[in-house]
Amino acid sequence: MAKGRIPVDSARVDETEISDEEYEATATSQGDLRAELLTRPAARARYEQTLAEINRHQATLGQVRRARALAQATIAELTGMNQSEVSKLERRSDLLISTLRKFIEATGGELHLVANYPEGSIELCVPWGPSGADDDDDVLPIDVRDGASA
Amino acid sequence: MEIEWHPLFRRWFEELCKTTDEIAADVMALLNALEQYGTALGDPESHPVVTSQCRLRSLRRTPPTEVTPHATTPPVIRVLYGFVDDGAQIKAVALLAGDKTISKSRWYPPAVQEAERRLVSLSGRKGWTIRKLYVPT
Repeated sequence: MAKGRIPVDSARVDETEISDEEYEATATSQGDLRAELLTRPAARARYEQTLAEINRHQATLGQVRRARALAQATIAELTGMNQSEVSKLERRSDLLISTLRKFIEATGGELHLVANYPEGSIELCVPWGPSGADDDDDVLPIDVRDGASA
Repeated sequence: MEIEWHPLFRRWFEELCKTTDEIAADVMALLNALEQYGTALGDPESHPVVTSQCRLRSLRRTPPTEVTPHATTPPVIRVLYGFVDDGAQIKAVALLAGDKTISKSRWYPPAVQEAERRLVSLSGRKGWTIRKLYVPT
C-alpha cells in the first residue's frame, strides 16, 4: 500500500470549480478525515508512531513554554532565575533534574520520571535539589512550617 | 490552534488516502502536531518558506525517519500552510502539498505561488486577514 504514487496537486484555484459545500467544510475537514483515516489499523499504527516521533522532536522546554503562551520573563520570576538564565536553560543539552522540575512546575506542569523495563515501568522520585537553595521559603520542609506556626 | 483546510488541499488528501495509508497517516500526524503546537511548531517538522510573500511555512517529512529508519525511497512530503486572523483568533490554513522527490527544490516556486493564491482567495471569501507571523524556529 505504501508503494502507491503520491497524488500531484496542480489545480489552480482561479481555474477550478469549488462548491460552496466544500468551502463550508474547511474548519471541520481535519477532524472528519482524521476520524475516517484512523479506522484503518495500518494507518492508525503509523499515525501513532509518527506522532510520537514528532513529539520527541518538538517537546523541548522552549516549545513547551511557548505552547503554553508563557514568556521567559514569567518563568524567570516563578523560578527565581533571571531571564538570560532561562534562555540558556532552554538551549542546554543537559541539566539538573531539580532545575527541570522547577521549569516544568513554573509552566503549570508536574514532572514525572518513568523508567521503562521489559518487565514493566517504575516511577522514580524526582530529586528536589540541594537544600538551602536561594529561595528558602520554597524548600522548607512542611513539618518545619507547621512547627513555626504552632 | 485551529486548522482550516483549503478545499483543494482536502481533495489532494482524499486522493492520498486512496493511495497509501502510511503516507496519509504521516501527513495527518504533521497536521495534528500543528494543531497541538501551533505557531511554536519548528524544526524538523516545520520550516519557514523563505521565498514566500505571505510568510508561508512548510510541514515536512523527509526519509529516513525514526519510524522508517531504512527508507531510501520517496516520498519527501511537504505541506504548505499560512496563518490567518478571523477576528477572534489566529488559525493555520493548510494549502497545498506534494512530494518533492523528483523536482527537489524546484518543487517550491510554482507550489508556493499557487498556495499563496489559495490563501489570498480563501481569506477574501471568509473575511480573514493574512497574518505574516514571525515565528521563532
